[in-house]
Amino acid sequence: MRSFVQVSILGVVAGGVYALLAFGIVLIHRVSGVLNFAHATLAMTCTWCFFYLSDQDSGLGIPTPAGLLGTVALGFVFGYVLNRVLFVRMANEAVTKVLATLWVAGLLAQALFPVVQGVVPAQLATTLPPVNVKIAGAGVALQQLAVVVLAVAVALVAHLVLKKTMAGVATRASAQNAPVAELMGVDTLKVTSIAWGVAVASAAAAGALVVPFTYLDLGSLADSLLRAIAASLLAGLVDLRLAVGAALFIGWAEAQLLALGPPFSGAASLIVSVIVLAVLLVGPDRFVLSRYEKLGPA
Amino acid sequence: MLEVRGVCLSFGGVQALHDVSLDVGRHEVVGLVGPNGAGKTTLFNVLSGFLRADAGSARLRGVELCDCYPHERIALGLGRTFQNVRLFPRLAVFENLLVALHSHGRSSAMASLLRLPAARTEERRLRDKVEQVIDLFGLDYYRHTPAAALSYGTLRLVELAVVVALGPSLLLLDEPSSGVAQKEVEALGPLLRRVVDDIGATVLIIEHDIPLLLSLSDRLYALELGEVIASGRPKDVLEDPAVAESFLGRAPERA
Amino acid sequence: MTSAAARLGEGRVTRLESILSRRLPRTTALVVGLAVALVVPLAQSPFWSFVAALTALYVVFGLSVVVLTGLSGQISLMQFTYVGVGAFAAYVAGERNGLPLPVAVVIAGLATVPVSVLVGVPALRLRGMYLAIATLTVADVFVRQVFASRAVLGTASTTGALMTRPSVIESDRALYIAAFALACFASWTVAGLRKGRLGRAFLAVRENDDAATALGVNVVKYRILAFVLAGLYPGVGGALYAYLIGGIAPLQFGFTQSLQLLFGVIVGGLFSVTGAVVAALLAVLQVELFKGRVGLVTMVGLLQLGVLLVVMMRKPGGLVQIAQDAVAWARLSPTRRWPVVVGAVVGVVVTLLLAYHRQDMAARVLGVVLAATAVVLYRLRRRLFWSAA
Repeated sequence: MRSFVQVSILGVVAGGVYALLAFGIVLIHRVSGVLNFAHATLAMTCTWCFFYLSDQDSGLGIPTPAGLLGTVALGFVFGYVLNRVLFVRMANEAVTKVLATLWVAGLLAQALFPVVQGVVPAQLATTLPPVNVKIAGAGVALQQLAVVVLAVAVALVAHLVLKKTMAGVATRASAQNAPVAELMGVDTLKVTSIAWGVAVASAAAAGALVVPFTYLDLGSLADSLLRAIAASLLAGLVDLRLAVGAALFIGWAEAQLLALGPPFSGAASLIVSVIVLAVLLVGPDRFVLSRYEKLGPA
Repeated sequence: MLEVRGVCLSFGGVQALHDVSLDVGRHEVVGLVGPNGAGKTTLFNVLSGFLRADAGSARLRGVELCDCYPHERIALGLGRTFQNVRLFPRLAVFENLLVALHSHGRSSAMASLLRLPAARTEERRLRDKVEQVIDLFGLDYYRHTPAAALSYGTLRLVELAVVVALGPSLLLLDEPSSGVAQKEVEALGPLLRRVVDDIGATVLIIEHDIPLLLSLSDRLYALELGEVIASGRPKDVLEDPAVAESFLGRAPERA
Repeated sequence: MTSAAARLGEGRVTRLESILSRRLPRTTALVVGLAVALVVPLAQSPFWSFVAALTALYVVFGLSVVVLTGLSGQISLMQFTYVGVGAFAAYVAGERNGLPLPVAVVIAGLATVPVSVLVGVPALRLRGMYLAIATLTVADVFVRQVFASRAVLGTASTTGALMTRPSVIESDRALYIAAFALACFASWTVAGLRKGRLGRAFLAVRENDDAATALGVNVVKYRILAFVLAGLYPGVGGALYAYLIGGIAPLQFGFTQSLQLLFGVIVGGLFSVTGAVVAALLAVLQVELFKGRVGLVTMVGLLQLGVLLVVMMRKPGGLVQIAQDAVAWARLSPTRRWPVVVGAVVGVVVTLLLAYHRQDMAARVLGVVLAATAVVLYRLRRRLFWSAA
């Protein structure tokens, strides 16, 4: 029987994946005004590429650190191209953007489905040395810890960049009023695409780092997406740090539920769904601190 | 027809309307003038139900407006145009007008769904009415054009037609001539006159175009910073020094 | 947007006159078409009745998307959940409690009403993306908790609850007649909807709900009414669907199916009954006729997604609009353009037939070549048809 602290540690670590996904979702929402339903599918696609690159038996067998970097780069390119080719043209049509994200999800699922079926990546070596760190008696792989650290670091850095740097201001300006930003000399295309690239790259990293510990399947994909969406909503779809925090909290809470055993352990998804619906009913903007700019036609 | 008494409204710390009172009698055309930010559109918003006044009352034919939802005020006979034209962009002009007549239809959803004879007769009646309005405004050429494809001047004309089609007893017009070319503005006066005479409407109109106001209105109210600073016959109000200073600009300094 | 709308406006001034001259032939064509659609499957083996019944039911499901998303502008990712509600309600009423068929069907329809109202009321505050999230979440909850619950399934397992057909619809042929009748009735009501006061109210609320309020249209009432209507059709259809496929499981009525339905109708044509029919045909093509041929299904799926992209970016009216625009385009310069249109259609059909009969791989290559050709033609259209532009 694990102690409360041990369960908490494990939960937070599990929440690391949700945190990276939520980070990406919130970033994309701030830039394009749409919730990226395809985010988890994109993560999955990149993860499959990582598997293809690095698996000794059925893949190319590239050493995992290089494979990881390749995957992250691939994720960046994915995000960049998606925005450049697709989302940048849908600036004013909110419904079309939603449909477009669903379309991407559908397209990737359709193309991936026959390929991904039953792939078990348990043989993939971890990128970081397979050292187990003991925190308060709970054994956590270094890599799993790295996911959490990465999520928190990325969110903080991105937050600061958006807030303090010229690049960040340019990004925010492009998000709010692209034509005017263009008139001021901002290359909105490049700036927003970079943001998308970062978002999808972080999702790719999440998938690639976590893949040695989990199965690659579409069911867990949907679950992760739901939890990431819940965390993003709790952050009002605008606060990057809050999104990561909320996701870690959801991971923690889920671990507690699982530790309680049935009937609670089966209720995790239901509770997450209830959270999502509750936030939507109250209104996601209520969860935003007033100093955030109101986003455009979202 | 319309009695507004002591309406007050503030946003945060800003007093948008302060103790505004005005009267509009039946079949009158009353103008509302004032500089930008005087509270004219805000008053319209209060009257049509998009804003709630902090204090005061507005009675339309004796019925207290502030107790009613916006769509109920339509039923009471209130019609209003907006500064930014609000039509249905992908619907044709004919269909836009049909929507205006929506509250004139009584058939239930079920009747409409099952195409019962009562619904079909009513539909024909509504379409005839739309034809009348199209004739009145000369919009025959545009009847099948989607609203999004119209030029701005025609758009405002259609918007006016839509509000008139509602058959309101009180028309609130918010700057009908803004953004409209001179020639069309000149045609607007007689058109509005025809509307008032034909359908017997009462009009409260916000305008900046002085010649239009002079030719059209029976009385004027001047607003500044949320307060009524002058009222009476158009000529008198426009020559009032307070109005002249706030709205028309100061008279040039004598050398 | 403006140029497309302007193009739309041009041809319409004389539409009123041409409608009258076209009405009689169109009505006869419709009647003949319906008669053929009814009789042909019945004359073949029961398998075709099964397929035709499935198509008819998909038409009914698709019509709900036309009403809710097309006419009323509210995006819902839980339409198949209503199918599930109808199916499981029929299961509980008809199978577990032995109620007669008509009663079970009515109960199935009515069962959707509390759901649609429960979703519709909070949905008033949610637009576009948020509504999509909400309906997706509700769909998920239904699949996991409601459909799989003891209360609904009783003793059946979560992998399948069996339905035995009442004698009146025992044969596939009889079931097809029932499904066909339902589809006709549903299509007739939705077609009438667009021309009547109710449909106009939906459109007005979709286009500009502030303006609609200003004109006295009760936005709340019509938004919720759209939800209720869009729940009833799949609910009733869901009951017949359950009897048709004989075994229902919670996972069959999830968000993925709703998404496929939504995409199908968007591709077919979101704003008209014809669109729902096209969507149903495409869906059945993939689900039943190409069953088991993974390569073909993937290709048709990818093709559909390609069309979906075009639809989303340029032709919101789906294949119906693409067809209408293609015909209008061809008419402007008949000798030069009709061959292009006909050639494109023939090309697609030939590719699909080839894929059906020959190696999937070869067909895939052909498909890619055709797609590339289409893209190249599209890019060069101005140069190729310069003088006719």
